[in-house]
Amino acid sequence: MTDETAERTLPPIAISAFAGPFDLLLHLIRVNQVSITDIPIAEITEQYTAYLDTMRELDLDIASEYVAMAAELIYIKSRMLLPRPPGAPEESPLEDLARRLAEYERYKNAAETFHEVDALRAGLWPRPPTTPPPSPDGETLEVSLFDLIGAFRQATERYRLAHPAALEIRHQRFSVREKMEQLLARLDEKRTLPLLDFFGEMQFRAEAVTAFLAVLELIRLGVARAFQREAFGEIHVTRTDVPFTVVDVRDTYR
Amino acid sequence: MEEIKESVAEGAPAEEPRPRESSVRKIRPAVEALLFSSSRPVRETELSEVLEATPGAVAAALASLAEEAEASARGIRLENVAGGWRYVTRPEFDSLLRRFHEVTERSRLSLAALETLAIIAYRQPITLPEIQEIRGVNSSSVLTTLLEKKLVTTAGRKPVVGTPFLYRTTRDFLVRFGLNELDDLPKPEELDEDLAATIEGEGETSSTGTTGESSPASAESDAAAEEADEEEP
Repeated sequence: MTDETAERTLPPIAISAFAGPFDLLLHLIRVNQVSITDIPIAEITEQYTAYLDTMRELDLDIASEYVAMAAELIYIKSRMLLPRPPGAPEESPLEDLARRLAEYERYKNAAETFHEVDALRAGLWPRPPTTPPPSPDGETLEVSLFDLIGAFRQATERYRLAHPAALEIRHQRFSVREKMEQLLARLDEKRTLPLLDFFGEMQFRAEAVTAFLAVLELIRLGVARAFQREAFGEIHVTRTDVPFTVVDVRDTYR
Repeated sequence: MEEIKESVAEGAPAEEPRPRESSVRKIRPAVEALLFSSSRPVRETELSEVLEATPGAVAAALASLAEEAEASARGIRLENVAGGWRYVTRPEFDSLLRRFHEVTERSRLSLAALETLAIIAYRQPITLPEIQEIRGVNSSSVLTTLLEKKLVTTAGRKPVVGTPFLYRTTRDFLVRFGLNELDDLPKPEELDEDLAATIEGEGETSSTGTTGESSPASAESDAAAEEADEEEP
């Protein structure tokens, strides 16, 4: 029964077309041609749950937030059926919902404007990133913490593939200090090296973690710098001019 | 974009002393070369620094270059975006360029990503829980997408329980959406008008007249036509 009414009154729109429960609610409000501040809660609740039922029948995953909103709507509806107890706060739960919907709608409209502007501007082609001809070192991009973490994940993934689960009972201890010394030594030798090469030298997972911490520490100290030559390119570590030697490491980190 | 003339016309006379014709003519080709060699927008301060020219002379040279690009039927134009200047192609050549460079697909931001981006743009700095409160839905994977695309970045942590990360928009965001600075974001009232226009004109799919001030007006008709050819995600 409910399916028939649902099919008759609701256009068939997949729930994936909605950005969330607020979006679906706004859609229902729009379709019913009512105002946010004057929601016919009984009708809207019924249509909302009918949508979820249809989705369930189609065996589609429904994000928990949609179910939570259904519960909230039913709660609001029940509250409105009951007389307000004397001394209860003025604001009805419906007003609160209307306020949240109005705020959400503001950003949804902004997103629509963004979409239009983005589509228009996608047709403007800037100059492609250039590497100045004479110096092969070129322009470098600063690397963010997220890029570093990404590189580390790549390294551990490589490690995992290269080292299938084996019997290993020795407990190894690695120190950040030791790894800082190791990296400094490598940097003194080569000045710049690919970050993955350094991680690749590590034999154990815990060792790679320690090495990663050592990289972060040297960057924090300003002794090393991470960069990439292009977006998503290989991350390199390089030595800066900040004076800091292996001896300093030993003195500072005991 | 077409604000070019206005913004420079306002900016140039404010500089005193008035730049001399000869000095402007001298640095003009250099400015063009610098912009031609850069993919990112170059700031006027950077230009005056490297050219050892007065800000007034740089502004005048830019105005002259922009004017020339507009006046003589050129395939490129000078754009004032994210506090700098860069050359971009004219929108009417988009399909031609895509054909030539064999670009078929273009990365589009999903509705959810645009919503999240809008919330961050207007409410920055803002935390993930605050974003989710407004959107009513989990937004962490969408946020990751925006971080990967470098449209948003972290801005420290909020001193509340759990010290969640704060997020803000980046310069890439300004460039992508053609804003000179964050204050150029359309005001919420304008967005409401936008919506009113959309509702009134429902049924017409064209974006004409609904994009408001944030979109390049002169390019609108051509680009809107282009846009109609493209498939909506």
